[in-house]
Amino acid sequence: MYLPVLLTKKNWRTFMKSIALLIGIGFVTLSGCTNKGPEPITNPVEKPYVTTPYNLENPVGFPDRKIAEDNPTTLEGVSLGRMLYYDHIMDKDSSRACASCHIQSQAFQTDNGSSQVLEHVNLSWSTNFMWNGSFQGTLEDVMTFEVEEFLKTDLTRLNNSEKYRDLFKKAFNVDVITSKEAAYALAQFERILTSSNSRFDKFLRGEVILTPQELTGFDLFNTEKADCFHCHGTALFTDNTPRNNGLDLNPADGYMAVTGNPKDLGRFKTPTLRNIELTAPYMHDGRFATLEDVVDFYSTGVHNTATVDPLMVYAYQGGVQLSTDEKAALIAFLKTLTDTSYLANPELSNPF
Amino acid sequence: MTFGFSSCKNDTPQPTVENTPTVVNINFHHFVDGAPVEIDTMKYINAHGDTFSMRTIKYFITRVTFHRDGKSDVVLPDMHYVEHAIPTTEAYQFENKIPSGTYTGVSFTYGFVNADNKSNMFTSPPEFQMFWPENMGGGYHYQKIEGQYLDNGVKKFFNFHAGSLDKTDYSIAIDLPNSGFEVVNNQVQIDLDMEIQNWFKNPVDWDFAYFGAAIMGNAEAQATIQKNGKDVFTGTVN
Repeated sequence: MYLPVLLTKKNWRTFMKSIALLIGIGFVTLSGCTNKGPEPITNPVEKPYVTTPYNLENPVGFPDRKIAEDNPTTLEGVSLGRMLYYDHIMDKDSSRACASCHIQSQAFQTDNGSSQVLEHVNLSWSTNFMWNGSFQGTLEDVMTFEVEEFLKTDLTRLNNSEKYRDLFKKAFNVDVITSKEAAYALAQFERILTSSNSRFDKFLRGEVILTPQELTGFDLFNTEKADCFHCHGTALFTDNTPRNNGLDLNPADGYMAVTGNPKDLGRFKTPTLRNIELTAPYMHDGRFATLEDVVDFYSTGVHNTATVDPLMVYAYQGGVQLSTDEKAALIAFLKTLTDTSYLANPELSNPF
Repeated sequence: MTFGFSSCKNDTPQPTVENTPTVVNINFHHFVDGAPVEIDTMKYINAHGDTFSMRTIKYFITRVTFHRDGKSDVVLPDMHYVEHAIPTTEAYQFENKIPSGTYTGVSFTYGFVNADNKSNMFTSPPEFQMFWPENMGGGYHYQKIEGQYLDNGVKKFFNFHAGSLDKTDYSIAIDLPNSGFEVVNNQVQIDLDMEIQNWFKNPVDWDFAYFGAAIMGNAEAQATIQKNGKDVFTGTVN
């Protein structure tokens, strides 16, 4: 009665493997019996390099993440990247860490006075970085730039740290830390900086309802009445493209400084609107203090210059000409993009 | 028997016309008044008499179909995105097994029929950025053609955007005229020419001032684009 159950096709293979193993053990044992020579000299067994995959789920409605094939996201890499993100050791002068300017409670950005720091959020989906679009590539590419050019990390200090040597060994199986591993660890941490749990996300998931005013704002946002969606569309609320939104009659160089092409004059990266309520002041130079200022600009303050983006279809009349109620509705909708769980997520906080 | 005999002589199956992949090359060209489009040059005049310039040309073609007499059609599975500013998208290559023989013509869908137009099916730019908002029907823009026109001397943008407004299917079934061909040497070469002026006439002369700059929510505009688009493409196949 039991034999047919035990010897299914799968179990049969297991059974045969067991037999083979027993034969093998017998052979080793037998060999041991016939050879009583000196014990072989063996090196200490090195702990195998094994990392634990980080479960990086793709939020509903988001496009596929961009993950470098040579830098899979792991618990060890993310944990290390998080430490580096908050550790002043990464700065040549130890005067700052990534988190000095990218403050979690402020949606991983802050106003540093001269120019607005871009938010660190959902960069997993970005291939364009910096306000003027000066960096294009993967997160690994831009983090390499940050380590080598921006922070000018003194790798000797990392290599002199027993703690970091151990953590890099566990994450990347390296004995000598280079800028590559430091950048890759930072990239892994940045890749998990995902904001997808705002009231708007919950609304899309059917968990909450929006107010009539917020819904009016949603409709304005996603039609050509306010026409926000063409640049700030999809679940990312940005197309990551440098554009000239008509801020100035004589705009700053923007993307033209990168390409040298006069048609790129005044083009700056389209920022995400996620957590926009918390990221004042606004625009690349922080010129607008409030969301009201921003909406007023798009309503009546747009300049119709030679390089303004074609999507600014109402530039000829200064903007989209919203009423007071429409402006209020639009702002009410924008505030539904605030993700308080992102701002307080302990997995993203300072580990020290 | 023949196959068995051949196998005995050579373990590697010998390719035949039928099982050798055929390479289909489609090259896209964009013209205004029969000449290659010039970007940002305010020199074109449409059938309504409006002066305009061109900036952006982006669109999808889908369901490229090769027709045969008395036999089933061959439908290419790809949804191909074309953007004039990205030259690589203007050369589309498809490689698959396509029966040899005579084909009576080529047709395709400009945009997407509703069954194909699914939100979030594209996960990377630039296709991803062609999304059409859910509250306007969802899916993707069929096209984004953009430029400027002169309205009493004032330069105004036009966003000649088309898509499935409120889930109405405004895709355009294009039958390419005089497009019969033979599959020989496992090559099909197609040159598709878009004449942009044809978007703005036949049967409706497009009045920029009447339709305005933003037409995504305008059912009359969407229907007009669908009607005018029938003869926008010509091409050669060999």
